This record gives sequence, C-alpha cells and structure tokens, in this order.
Amino acid sequence: MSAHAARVPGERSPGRTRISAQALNRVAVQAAAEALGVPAGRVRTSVSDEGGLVVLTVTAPAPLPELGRPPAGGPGLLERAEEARGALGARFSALTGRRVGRVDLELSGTSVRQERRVR
Amino acid sequence: MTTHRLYTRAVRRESHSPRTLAVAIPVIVLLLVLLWAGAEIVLELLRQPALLAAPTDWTSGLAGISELDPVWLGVAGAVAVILALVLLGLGLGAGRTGKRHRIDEAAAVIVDDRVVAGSLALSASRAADIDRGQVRVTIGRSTADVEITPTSGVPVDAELIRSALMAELERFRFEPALRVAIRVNTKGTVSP
Repeated sequence: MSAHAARVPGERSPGRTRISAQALNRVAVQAAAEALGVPAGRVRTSVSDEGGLVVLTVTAPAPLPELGRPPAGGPGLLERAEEARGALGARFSALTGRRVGRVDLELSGTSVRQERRVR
Repeated sequence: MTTHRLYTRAVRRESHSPRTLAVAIPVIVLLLVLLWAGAEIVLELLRQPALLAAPTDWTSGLAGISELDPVWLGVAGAVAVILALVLLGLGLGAGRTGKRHRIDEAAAVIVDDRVVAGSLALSASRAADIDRGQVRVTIGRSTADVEITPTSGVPVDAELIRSALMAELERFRFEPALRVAIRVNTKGTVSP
C-alpha cells in the first residue's frame, strides 16, 4: 500500500526503475533457499504471470536432517515444505514489491543439512 | 471574423482528403475518348481511313461484344464494377485523414491522430508508472482506445490513467473531441 501511495503523479522523480526478469529470478532463488534451508546453488526458479499476478515455480531439493541423528520429532517434510512455500512467496513480495498469486514448489532430490563438516 | 472563416476552410482542407486525383483521372480518360471520337468523325467526313474504327462501324462493334469470350467479358465487367465502387466510395465517403484541430483567435492548429496517440500513451505510462511499451493507443473517429499490459504483481489503477488522459485531452481541446476507453489486459508481463 505504501508503494502505491508513492505512485502519485508529481511526487516521483523523473525516470523509471525496472527490475529485469533475471533479477526477479535471483530474488526468488534466494528467498526459496532461505525459506527451505538449502543451498541456493541447487534451487531453480521461474517467474511468470497469471492474471496479472506473479507465479513462482520453484524446484529445490528436500531439506533433510543430518543422517544418523535421531528424528527431532518436529513437523514432517511436507509440513515444512508448505510453510517454506508460503514464506518464500511473502519474502519475494516484500523484496520486490510485486504481488504473488501462486507459488508452486517441487521437491526434487534431497539436501542433508550438515551442522559441521567432519574431516 | 474573416480569419476565422479562413482557418475553418484551411482546417477542412487539411483534415479531409482531396478528391482531385479521383476526379481528374476519369475526366482525362473521358476527354481522350471524346477526342478520339471527334477525330474519327472528322476523318469520316474527309473520307480518310479510320484510326481504329469508323463511326459507321461503332454500333455493330458494340453489338458484336457478346461474341467475345464470356470469361474476358466477365473479367472486364468485374473490373468496371470494382472501379465504380472505389470511385463511389471516394466520392461519398467522408474522406477524413485522421487529424484533429483547434481554432484559436491567433492560430489554427492541426494535429495528426498519431501524435495524439503518442502523447496519450506517454501520459498513460507516466500516470500508471509503467513502461511506454506497455501502453498501446488506437485512435478512432471519436474514441481513444488505450490498452494497458500491467507489470506482473503490480495492480494498474485504470481510473487514475483515465483521469490523467482526460485532463490532457481537456487541455488540448481538439476537435472532434475524443472519449477515452481503457482496457487492462488480464495477462501481465513479468519484466517489461
């Protein structure tokens, strides 16, 4: 809403700022990586349009706790993925000022969260 | 007063297509045919050989037209009909050339519709804070159709654009006046 108020004619400085599709993609990748807790290098996203709203399509590895550790008893994988899906849409929206209509998340492969590397 | 009438006439001349050519060509063709006919009659009277056909053969020549190949007759007929329709259209049509005007006390201004369209598109893009390429303006006789492709995730305020464009047209005061019709595409563009 504040972004909208800034678009009153005459109050803006001349010129326009546009965000390239590539930049939007990078933001989506970063938001997804942060929300899921997986390395950004393994996240693929595409930004498209549906009815004038942004659609994010994210392919990322499923975040798994370190193998050999006892299950923490927290939320399951699907619940955490759903939570991350909502969080990354909100984060993208907050960073770019674009309204997100839909986020599609596909978990492909796994990413084991390692607390520290054993040499 | 006289300058005003002069301006009105100048504006009328500039904003409507002249039919000079459409009148001149058929008149010249008719003139050539009449000249030829006159020459043939004179040659006949002087008992000289005819150029193409002697006047005495004209009626029989016209009657013999039905002996020609019907295909060619049909083609010639179709061409004649099309030519007639084109000339009728030019003569009876309004012949507008897509221009607006405004007559002030000191000057008459004539503006091409494309200039008005460009100006409206620029204003619309500024009012909506979108790229110039996301606006398409088509100007008809009395309506300016404005087509907006929104940026994905950024809602477009059609009323804001409408009021900006109407204010601009109000400032121009061009005749014939334009109405603004705004259409926002449902599909946006991710990066303009």
